[in-house]
Formats: sequence, structure tokens, C-alpha cells
Amino acid sequence: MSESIAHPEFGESTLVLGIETSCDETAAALVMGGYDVVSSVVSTQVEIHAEFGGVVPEVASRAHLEVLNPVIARSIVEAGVEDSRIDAIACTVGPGLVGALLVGVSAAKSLALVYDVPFIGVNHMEAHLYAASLEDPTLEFPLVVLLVSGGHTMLVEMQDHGRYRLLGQTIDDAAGEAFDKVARFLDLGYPGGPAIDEAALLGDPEAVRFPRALLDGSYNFSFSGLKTSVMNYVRKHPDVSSADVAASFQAAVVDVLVTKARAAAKEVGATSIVLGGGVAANSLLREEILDGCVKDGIQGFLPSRAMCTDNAAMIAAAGWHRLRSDGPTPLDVGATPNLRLPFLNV
Amino acid sequence: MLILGIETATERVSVSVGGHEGVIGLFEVTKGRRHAETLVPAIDFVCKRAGIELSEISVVAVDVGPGLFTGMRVGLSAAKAIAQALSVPMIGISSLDLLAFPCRHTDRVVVPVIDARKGEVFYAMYRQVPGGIQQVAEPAVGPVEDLVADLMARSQDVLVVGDGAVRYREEILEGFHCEMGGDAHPSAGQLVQLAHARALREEWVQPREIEPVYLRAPDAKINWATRAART
Amino acid sequence: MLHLRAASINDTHAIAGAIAQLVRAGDIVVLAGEMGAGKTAFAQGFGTAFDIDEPITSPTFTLVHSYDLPRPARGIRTMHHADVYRLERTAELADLALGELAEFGGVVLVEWGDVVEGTFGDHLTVMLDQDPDDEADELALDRARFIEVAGTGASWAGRWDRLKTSLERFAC
Repeated sequence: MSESIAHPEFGESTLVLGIETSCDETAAALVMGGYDVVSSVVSTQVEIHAEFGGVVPEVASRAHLEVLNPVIARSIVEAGVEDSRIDAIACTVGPGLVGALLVGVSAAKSLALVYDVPFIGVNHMEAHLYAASLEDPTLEFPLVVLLVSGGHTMLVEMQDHGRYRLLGQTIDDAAGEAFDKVARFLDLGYPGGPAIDEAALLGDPEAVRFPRALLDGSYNFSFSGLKTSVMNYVRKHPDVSSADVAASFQAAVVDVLVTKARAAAKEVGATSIVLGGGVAANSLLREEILDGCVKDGIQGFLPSRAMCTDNAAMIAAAGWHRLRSDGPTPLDVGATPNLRLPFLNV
Repeated sequence: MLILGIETATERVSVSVGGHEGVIGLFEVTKGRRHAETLVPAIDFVCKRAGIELSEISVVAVDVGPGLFTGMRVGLSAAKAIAQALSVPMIGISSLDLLAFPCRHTDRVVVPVIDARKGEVFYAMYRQVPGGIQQVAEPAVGPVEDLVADLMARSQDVLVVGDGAVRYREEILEGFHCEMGGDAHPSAGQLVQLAHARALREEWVQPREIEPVYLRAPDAKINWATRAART
Repeated sequence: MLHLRAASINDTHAIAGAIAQLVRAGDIVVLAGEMGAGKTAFAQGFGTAFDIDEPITSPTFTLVHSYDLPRPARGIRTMHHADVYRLERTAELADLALGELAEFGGVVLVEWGDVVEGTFGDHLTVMLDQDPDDEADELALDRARFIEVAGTGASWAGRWDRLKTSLERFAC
């Protein structure tokens, strides 16, 4: 099976401007031919104080309106091209926060109109699936992608470009959210992921056997009960070492994630397991996934942190693939906060 | 000098182009609240039908609110992106000014009222001056009762306009006898006319200086201490 | 105020479902309670009552999840599930424009909404708490809860008797 290319006129030299405003980050990037990241700017990762008028983005849509124009301008300057060189504009149309999405979608469609180039509406989750191929274009299908962040926990089989099967997802809290809330509960600081990771280094992962919600062999996840269980345990045992609780909690989360990812890879005959999302930075998760993949004789691929978290390079890349398969998106498309991935019915 | 006007602060989506010769193109839809879907195709339509290339636009004017959060975001984001891509300046105009402007030929005090949701309204007061209108009371936001109290305190002949006036017609008339009428929504046609006058005086700004007017309570820290914290 | 006890998560879902039968387009329902008290579980029961069949997951990071009803009911087309846990400023809350979401054929559930309760106008408050006397093992995943329901404003006063009747079997 190979990628169906209905629009071969968009090829290796097609330069796509990607725009991302679905949640906290305001981002813009230029990607050539779907794989070559020419520039990638994320508002929270640059020195924005002076240049962008002192606006420090807080959560969500607060600053997208002020920061988006400067972020786009910077992505073009860093790429060292004239804006007339842009061949298409891709932007996240969902899922995400409606007020945040609208800023990006409206700007992106307006730019497409002014520059007279195609607009491509991109599914944010599909873009996450393309993040890994930006760093390793040689990855071979089928892949199993484990996407774990503050907002999402998802296990997806990627059979080809544009062909995915949802294997499982969280039915309550995302894994990253559980990390953050447990860290806050244990007073370990913020952001919670790195705080738990660090505290766990000094703890005993077998000190407390927290429950693993395996949900009867399905590939779905549940972390809400685990979070509550940690809190109830600590309330009942106030003298317990935070390091032990952090280590035991982290072990429970990673155990479930890795067990399911490996089982899924085995079932679909995947060549690799790819990690994505902010939780992909967790050191135990990285170690266990790689160990598991070695045992199973497949490849484990861990993209860089910048590519795992929200960025616009992945939007541009996913947009390039969609442009080639489906052509441009009409300019009367809006934002869809609850957009789902176009999963195959199996 | 050609001006592109973008108006999305209420339920209406309105796009206009015009200049010395007045409004030469106008598109409006006032139903469905589909600002994001409608705006960019509307800009394309108006320009094409009026025989104008976007590259001929020399100023982008936009309604900066107060009004619907979601609508304003769409209009402001599109207007800023277009102005930046064309390297042209912008003119931001208040939605209340836009509602009052077409009523400039009355002797009454003009009170534009915009629905702010949850029983509240945005409003301000204007009176006729040679060549236009002048604001005589600062924009405010509050429950409809506040508006009625302000009208009673002023006790003048009043013309109330806007979607807030339509929605709360009964409440307003019960509290204060006044004339109701005029347009329910601001229009990009008025926006282009007002912006043209300002553009002749070069009263424009760079896209980064355009900010929405939310007219809400001042920003404050959320007091999590009132609760047993988030742990 | 109604004082209820949910012996299990099924009871929590049933209570949420009974409240869902009485909400109207434009309503805001505040969900209060400690972490792990069952706010998201309540939202799941609420969504099930509207036949929403996709997983209703925690909106803590994404701030608002919106679910279109398969069959719009009583003018309600969308259930919005918000969470203000990550917010630090009132301007961030204003930016979510929850009132606009509600007025446009929506019902909005707001987790941790009690910290900003004064901004909502008429609303219903659902306060969830674990039952401290539940004998279940502290590592158990399903525990009993106390649930208090209170209405603010005329719009809930008019529905109070019906709400009380429909929740009678959970009263304590």
C-alpha cells in the first residue's frame, strides 16, 4: 500500500507555512516538501519580551491574537525567504479550544487569500502522528504511535500516510494530567512531569503497589482511579516518603503505557513504536519503551522534545501530505473544537 | 485610497470596500454566528465583485469591539493578518461608534446598546456635532438596570439602537420612555466611511497596535485560597 | 440545598443523568470538590444522559471539551465540559467566553467553577466529596460519595421541586 497522491503538483519543493494555535502555544513554521523543517517558531520557546511587546503567553487563547503575527513574521525571517515564496498555508482547525483555534484559522485563511495560495485545514492529532517522520523519514509502516500528553493519551496504528486506526485512548484523565496533579498533591512543584521524574529517581518504585487499570485487555487507558488512589493512600499514610510515592506512581503509569504499546505493536505487526506528546520526555517511559522494543525485536523511536510537544512544523508536514492526497481545503471551513481523526473503520 | 472594512463584533459578519467615492462593495450576513466560516470567502467575494485586487487595499479597518468574544477574534485575527501581509496600516473603530454614526442626523442623544450576554449590555452615549457625532458618556458594561438608571439620570430625549436594544426592548421601555430604532448591528459600510475620514488625517496604526476592547472587569488573580486549594 | 449519597460510580452517573434531564440551553453547572472527588465521573454520567457516546475525558489541560449531541434536546445542541483548574487570572476565564458557549445552544459544566462562581449569574452547583466512612480499601478505585446540589437564581428556583423529586431516592 502506498500513499495516494492525487495532487503531484505539490512536491519536494513545495514550501508550506504551518500555523498552530489550538491550545497554549502560538507557533509557525516553514517546511519544504513535507520533511525539511526550514524554520520552526514556538512562542513560549523564544525571547518574546522585547520583540513581541512584553506579552508572556499564559494559558490558552490569551495571547494568540497579539503574538501570532510576530511569530509568523519570525518564521519567515528565520527561513530566509520572501513571503512570496510560500506555496501553501496549513493550519490546525481542531481539535482544541474554539477561541484559540479561531485566531489561527482566520489568520491562515486570510493569508492564503492575500498570497493566493492553497489553504489546508489540519487535524492537530494527525499532525502529532507526523512529528516522528520529520526527524526520521525512513520510518516504515505500520507504526504504533503512543501519544501521551497533558491533554491526550492515545494509541494509534499508522498504516500509511492518512490511514490510521485508533487502538485505544484514555477514558478519563490523560497520563500527563495525572503526573501534574499527583506532583501538585505531593508538593513536588510544577510542571509535574519533570518533578515526578526527578523525585522518582530517589524513590522505591515497588514501595506501594498502586492499581494498574488494564481494562480487560483493551487498549484504552484510565488514570483517574490511580490518581485518586495515590491521594487516598497518602492521606492515610501521611509519613510515607514522597519519593517512594512518586516512584511507585510513575512505575504504575509507565507499566500500563508500555504494556499496552508493546501488545499493540505485536498485534498489528508494527516495525516500530513511536512516542509523542509531552510525557514522551519521561525518562522511565523512554527507557522502558526502548527496552521493550529491543526485547520484541522492533525499533523504538523517541523524537526530540521540541517535536513531541505542540509545534507548527508537524502542522506544515501533515498539511503537505493532506494537500497531495486531498488538495486544498475550501476557505469556508471553520474551527472544529471536537474534530476527530479520520480513523478507518475496522 | 481603498479601505477594506471588517466587522464581526456582533452576530453579523460584514465586509466592505470603499474610499473617496464612498462604499463600493458591501456583504452582510446576520444569522447563524458562523463568523470564521463566512468572513474570508466574503472578503474574496466583495473584492472580486467590486473589481478590486487585495493588493490595491491601502488601509485595513476593523471593529475592535466591545462585542462577542468569538466574533471579534475572527475579525481581528483576519484583519491583522491581511494588513501584515499587505504591509499596510490599520484603523480600529469601536462597535459603539459604528452603531451611533448612522444616527448622526438626530437631535436626540444616541445610545448604542450591544448585547453582552448573561443579562448585561455594552453601551455609550453620543450627540450630534457639526460633521458627525461625539461621545458624551464613556462606554460601559453592566446589567440592563444600570443602563436604565443612566438613561433616567440623564433624562433627555434618547434614541436607543443595537442588538441589546432589540433584546431588552421591554426592560428598557418599562424603565424609561425613549425612541427605539435604527440598525441592530454595526455595519462594515459605516466602518469604511468612518475609517476613510480618519485615513485622510493619517490616523492609523501598525497591526501590532490593534487590540480588542473587551470592556470587562479588570483582570485579577483568581483567589484559589477561597477553596481548599487544588490538592 | 439537596444532600445526596452515591454508593457507587453508577449512582453518581444516575444523579448526573437526572440533573441532565432538567437543564436547558444556556445553563451553567458548576462542579466543585477535591481532586478525585468525582467531577469528571459526574460529567460522564451527564453526557451519557444526552446519548453522547464518545469518551468524556478530563478537560484540565485542554480547558474546554465540546460534544455535539447526537439528538439535540430542548434547544441544547452541544455539551461543553470546562475546567478552570489551570487558570490563574480572571482575564483567562473571560477569554473562555463560557457564557457565549452556553447561550448558543449549549450547556456548560465547569469543573472547579466554585472559585469563580460570582461570574456565572444563574447556575447550579454540584459539590462532590468522598464519603470518609466508606470502608473500601484506600487503593480501591470506586468509593462512595456525598453530593450536594444547590441552585442560584430564579431559573433554578422554578425547577427545584422537579429536581428534588427526581433525586429523592439518593437523599440522605
